[in-house]
Amino acid sequence: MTSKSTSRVERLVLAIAIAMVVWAVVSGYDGLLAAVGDHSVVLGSFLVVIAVGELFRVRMPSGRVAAPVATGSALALALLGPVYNRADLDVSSGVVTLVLAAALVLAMVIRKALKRSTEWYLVAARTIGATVTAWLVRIGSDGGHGVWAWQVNAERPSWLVAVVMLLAAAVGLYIDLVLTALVRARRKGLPGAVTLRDELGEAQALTLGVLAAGPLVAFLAPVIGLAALPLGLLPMVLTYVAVRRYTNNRATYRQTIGTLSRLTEVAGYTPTGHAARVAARSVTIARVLGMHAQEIQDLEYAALLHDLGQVGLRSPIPEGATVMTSPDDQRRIASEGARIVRRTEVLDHVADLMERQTTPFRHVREWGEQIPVESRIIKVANAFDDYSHGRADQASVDAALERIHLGLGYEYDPEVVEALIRTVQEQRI
Amino acid sequence: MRRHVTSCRATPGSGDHTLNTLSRRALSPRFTKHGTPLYIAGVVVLAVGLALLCHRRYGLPENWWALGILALLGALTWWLPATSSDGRVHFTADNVVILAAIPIIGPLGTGLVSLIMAATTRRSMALQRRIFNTAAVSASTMLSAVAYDLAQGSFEAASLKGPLELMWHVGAPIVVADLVLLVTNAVLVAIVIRLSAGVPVRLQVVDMLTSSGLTQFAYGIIAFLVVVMWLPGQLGAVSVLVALAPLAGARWALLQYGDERAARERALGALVTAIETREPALEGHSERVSVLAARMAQDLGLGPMVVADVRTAGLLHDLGRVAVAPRQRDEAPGAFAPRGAAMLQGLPFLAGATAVMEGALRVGSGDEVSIASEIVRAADEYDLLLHGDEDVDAAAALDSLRSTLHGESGGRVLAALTRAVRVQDGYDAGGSFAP
Repeated sequence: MTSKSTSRVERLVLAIAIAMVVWAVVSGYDGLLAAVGDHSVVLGSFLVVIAVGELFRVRMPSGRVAAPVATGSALALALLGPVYNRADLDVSSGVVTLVLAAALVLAMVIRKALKRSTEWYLVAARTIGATVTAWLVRIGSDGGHGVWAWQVNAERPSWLVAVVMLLAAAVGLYIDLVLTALVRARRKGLPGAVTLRDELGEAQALTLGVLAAGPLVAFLAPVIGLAALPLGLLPMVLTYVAVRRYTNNRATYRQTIGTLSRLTEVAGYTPTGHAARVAARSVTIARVLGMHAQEIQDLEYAALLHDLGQVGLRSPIPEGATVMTSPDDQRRIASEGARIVRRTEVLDHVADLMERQTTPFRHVREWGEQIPVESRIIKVANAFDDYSHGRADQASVDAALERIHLGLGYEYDPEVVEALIRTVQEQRI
Repeated sequence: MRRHVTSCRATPGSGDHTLNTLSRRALSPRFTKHGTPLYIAGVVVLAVGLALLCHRRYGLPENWWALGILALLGALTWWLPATSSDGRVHFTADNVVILAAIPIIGPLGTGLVSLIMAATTRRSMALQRRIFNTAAVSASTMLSAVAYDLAQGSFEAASLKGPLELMWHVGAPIVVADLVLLVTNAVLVAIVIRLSAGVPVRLQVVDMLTSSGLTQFAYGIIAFLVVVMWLPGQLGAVSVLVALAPLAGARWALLQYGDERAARERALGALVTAIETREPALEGHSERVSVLAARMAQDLGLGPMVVADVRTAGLLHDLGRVAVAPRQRDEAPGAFAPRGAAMLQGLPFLAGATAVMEGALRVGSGDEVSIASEIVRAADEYDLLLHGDEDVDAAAALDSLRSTLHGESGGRVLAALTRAVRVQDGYDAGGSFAP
């Protein structure tokens, strides 16, 4: 089901982009040749900058792949009008589409040669978004030039031109974002609405920055010519550097939590890889349940650290399997782990989730106790790994599921167990 | 510019214990008491003098409307939450506004804009600090505006044509002004920190320049873009928004980076708690070793990065104790120690601290180790002696270490330890250890 839907949405995005390119060629073949002849330097410069920008992608913590320099320059090309000491870039939106597509295809070829990921749907969505922007500023009056002509005839106030440019860039950029989010959601089997909300919510400032880059270049070009391209894109380069720093730092933060989680493993309290497996399983279950990125991040940390309290034990419990210990011991270990984590003063919520992981589901059912769904997920994922001994063969998995079914509704949340079964089935497929 | 405010963690009453205690050693109490107010008065006089000079040479600003808009935008940037790029340095887009103001409203106007920005900052601070910040910001900006003029900068940028003219008469001079602004600012702040906290001016200036120099340069370029759009591009005040909006993403990422970097550092605290959970007798030991070792490293004039590594290594030097089950440790005591550093190998940001930890284990083995490792080992042993089962005071602990620290570096480490202990505990070692 998921894989079918995935290919359908992705194919649709690719098909729209290809259709736009074909339409651009068919509708404006003559104009294209003339444009290339008249504006070869300007178009060639944009082609190179967009292609280079596409080589510098950055993957956000939510999974969104951003290429701020490429997107900013694509929007700038869509909006560009007068250029100092050169003819006005009076070209159709089809020419913009073709230059953009050529640049992105060139970038993909280079990425392929460099053995980097290509992900064609990203460039397809980018082509569609920038084409829409180019088309929006060219519709309407002024001899078919629309808002684009406002830059040339200087009758409209500059601030109005800036606002309209920003709006047109925003429409194109959000189309790009929505299409990539939908494809990504289908690829990962996640709810589309949740993925979209996470992506848009994660980096609104980044989105604002990218959409303003196009108008910035377009406003600089009439005064400083093609120097506007490197200078106007400088903020995007800074953005790229800053986002890379942030994502690298996020990765090292995750590594720090991972190191903390391995304390019990290197000390021989828990089996090697147990914490990482429980965390990975918890995250997969959370995605199936449609949880948000921030919730999933806290869940992952709590799952990684769920056995940390064992460092206080005088001697290890057999195989570190807390599921085999008494409820009191389970609670003691969880509380000790939460106490250690609370000392960080920045992971209080994670500590709360760790502390509640041992509470049986019947407390929710019978007494209406509020247990965070994250804690219920960790309980199920931990039990699954303990019962299967970390093995992935069918017999071990079936045995683990059978043991968990014995506690269904009493110890474990049925909804979470159902999600667990889905993740196991998808893994088999 | 925001650096004026945040750098004041080392200005009077800021509460940085290390810096303040060091100052007691470095400067006489009388000098510390009167030197800072006198210096601040001097900076105020400098700012007033520069204002008079600018008025005489360049006259009053012609475009008061632009001045008002720039002051408002500048004040708004002060009101935005501070951006932390590396956990220590904070700045916002106010640099762009100030640098862009130079060609648009001239030197005196720029000084007025910066004065309004600094005076209206929302941060609550002591009056003395606010006066210093306002005067220092105004003086730095007017000096940078004069530098712009001396670098052939044009105050008639609207009439310039083409990229070359604009870059030559606006872009390059703005970069010069940017540089002067950065250096002047750093020197003025470093001096007040020297007077109030005893940190050497050179160290502070180098630290400030190296930690934000590139970003400051980039802000200069963006200021150039604002001027190009505002004057020849005739976009007016909207140009500030158009130029700054693309930075929103960078600013967001820096904010996230700062927050997560702090969280990452805090997460290391959990490792210490884990050590103390296993070894309750060591409660507080890691923290004490970390503070003492960092103080010794500062005393020996090691760079900020090395000091940070020493501080972290001191904090985590006992991690090996928790990286093994109690039963195994009883079977092979001592074999667990290297496991702590080994556990941290996968964390690139701890590479320096890990090397220091590994070296600390080899002190006395005949291998060559860094002075940073010797510092951590000495601080560890000193603290264990002082807080161990036997009743040992600071003098006896230092005497005991004297027999184990050999050679030139051992002597330096012991001298630094003695001074650090003297500052920390008020212990009088009687100057028996030559530095």
